[in-house]
Amino acid sequence: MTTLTLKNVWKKYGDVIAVKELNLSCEDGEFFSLLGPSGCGKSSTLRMIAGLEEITDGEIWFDDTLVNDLEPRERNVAMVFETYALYPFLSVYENIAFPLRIRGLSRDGINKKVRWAADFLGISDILRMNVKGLSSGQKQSVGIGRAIVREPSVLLMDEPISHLEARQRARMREELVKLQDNLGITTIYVTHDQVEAMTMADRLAVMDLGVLQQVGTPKEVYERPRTEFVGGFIGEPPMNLADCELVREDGQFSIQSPSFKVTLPAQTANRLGTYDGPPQVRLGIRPESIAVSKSPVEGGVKASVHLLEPQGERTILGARLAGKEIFLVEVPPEFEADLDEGLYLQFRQPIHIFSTTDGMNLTY
Amino acid sequence: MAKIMVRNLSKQYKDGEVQALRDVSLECPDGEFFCLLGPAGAGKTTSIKLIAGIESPDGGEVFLDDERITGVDPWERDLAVAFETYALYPQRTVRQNLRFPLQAPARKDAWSEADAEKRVVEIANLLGIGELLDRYPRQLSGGQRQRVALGRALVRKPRAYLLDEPIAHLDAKLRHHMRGELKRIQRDLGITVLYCTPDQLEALSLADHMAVLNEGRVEQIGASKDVYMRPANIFVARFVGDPPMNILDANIEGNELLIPELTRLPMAATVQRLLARNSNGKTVKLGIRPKDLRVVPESSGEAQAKAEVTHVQVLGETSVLTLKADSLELHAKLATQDAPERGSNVGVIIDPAVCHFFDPETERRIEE
Repeated sequence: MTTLTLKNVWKKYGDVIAVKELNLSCEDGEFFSLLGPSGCGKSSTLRMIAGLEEITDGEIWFDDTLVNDLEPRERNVAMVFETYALYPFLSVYENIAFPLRIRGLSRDGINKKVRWAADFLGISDILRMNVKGLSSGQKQSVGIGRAIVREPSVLLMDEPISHLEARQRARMREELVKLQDNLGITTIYVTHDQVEAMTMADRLAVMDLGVLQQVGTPKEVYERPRTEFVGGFIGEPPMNLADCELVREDGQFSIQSPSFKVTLPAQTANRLGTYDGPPQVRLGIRPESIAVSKSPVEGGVKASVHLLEPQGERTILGARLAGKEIFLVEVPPEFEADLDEGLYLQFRQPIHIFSTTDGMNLTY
Repeated sequence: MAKIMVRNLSKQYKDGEVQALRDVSLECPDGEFFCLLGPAGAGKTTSIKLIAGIESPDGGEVFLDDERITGVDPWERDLAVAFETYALYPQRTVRQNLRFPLQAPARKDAWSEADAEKRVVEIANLLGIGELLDRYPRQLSGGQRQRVALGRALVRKPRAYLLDEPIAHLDAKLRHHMRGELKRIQRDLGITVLYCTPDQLEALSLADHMAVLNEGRVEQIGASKDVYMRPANIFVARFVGDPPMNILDANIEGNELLIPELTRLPMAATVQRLLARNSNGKTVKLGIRPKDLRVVPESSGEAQAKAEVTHVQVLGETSVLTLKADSLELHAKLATQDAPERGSNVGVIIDPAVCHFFDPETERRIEE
């Protein structure tokens, strides 16, 4: 049961900054995800928490203990990796028992704990099997068994399921959440897959180029991205982004480009308030926030059908605007249109406006 | 371009230990985007290899248009193939890799130096690797290498393209973009594409028609929309659509369906008639897609059964709920703004009119 706190943590490799002034706090028992593309600093952060990587500057606290100078084994953390790192010639039992053996636990003590972990993970019936013959899901369970058998105070997972097939991954996502929920161990989960972070985490931290972009619940980061990076990284299909100019006329804001001229709704305009930065901004709008009409509508943006992707319960329309950019729009599965057919798009709320200088969401 | 047709193909590996394909027949019409969809081990790659002539079938025939090509050497079939593994020449630049298929002895005369260069640049730009032409494969990321491999298949103008998970290694955003581009290229040029993927969303998005494969067998062939709307059996019903369709055991009792541990559902006359005519009259498997399962407040008079929300997955605008009712587990998909919290109790409504029915023995779809 541990609260984990990072204060002004930096990681540098020579001149390269991997993690920049990171401040984070994970609550006791929380499922917390570090999300970002490769090179964003998420794995470096995880490795600093584990003690596998020196902290260049800053402090890491487990409850009220400063762990900067503690050895990995003194921190009582357990890690689960993508490559299960199991001993191929040992049985499932021996793999799980391994961390206890090197700690010199009694035979009875080991037996009790291994049985508990196996029971917990539903793998009691394969304890005698050799790990070589196991399915990837079973190997994963053994890897987790080995991690939890010594009751760590923090569980660290580094892309543990990213190599699995889509269907299996979906199942494992749910399994892992249930497991973590039952264990109640503070868990840090590193992934580059936004679906994983969104569906599993209580809260997530989005990182890019070593800089923390936003911390929040999945709902918060989806609905109110703090930066353009977060807006574009989270959501499938991705948010539509386009260069445009912010124009203030008669007390009203509008966004204009060769492709569109749209008056911003009052709520969006209010958020912009007294913005007096450069007029060049970026529009961000999600595929489900765009309405489509085949006949002209007031304030509609002219477009044509570039592509239709039926996905079963919905269809994704690729709409080509006058400036040649493609906007993705979510339409109902009944929607039919010919390639290159003319359309009108209406931008609905929420409309996000991002700064071109620092990427911040001006309508946050 | 040409039509690809296979008849009764079968293939074994390891002296019959592995039956990779069992009596597979399908037809990919001229100018169509046709997907082979299935999990690992379904026989997708084997099908491609047999059509391309890289391996020989144990039984069955392959036709290109109406010409039988079963015994024909691969290089004489005039098909372009891209596999998931890139197989690029490490000592050649991207430009040389892309040009290679145009320089094969059989095709050398068809491409002048200038035409070949023009074609390479055109394809490279189309795939967004125009800047990388002078680099070597080792200097590229996995996603870039995969695009070079795809480019090497597209650079020629063969009679048909066989693509085996050609964009599996791209990140989500790029994959989405490439999927769009591929489909657009295919439409614009009217080329025949046979495309393998384990990703049901990819198949639905791309394919005009698809064949769902499982353990070497064809489970269903149909237009994308039909496969989703009218899955032929429980395997297809659960493989296509995400999260998978809920499948429940039900007993037919007069004009009601009894779902043990959950509820009793009144059936409309059409559903009654359907089951009376086509089922064994006693039991049936009922399928309902998560988006069709309605979730209402526990106190609602409409609620047919009560369930506990054990898990909430926020996908963005939609969320997936895991519901527990006694020992039954159900998934429901709804707008995130309407999603109840984990741990809350809710009511559920199953409308038999939007349900799918399957035979409990054969697992085949029950329909008129």
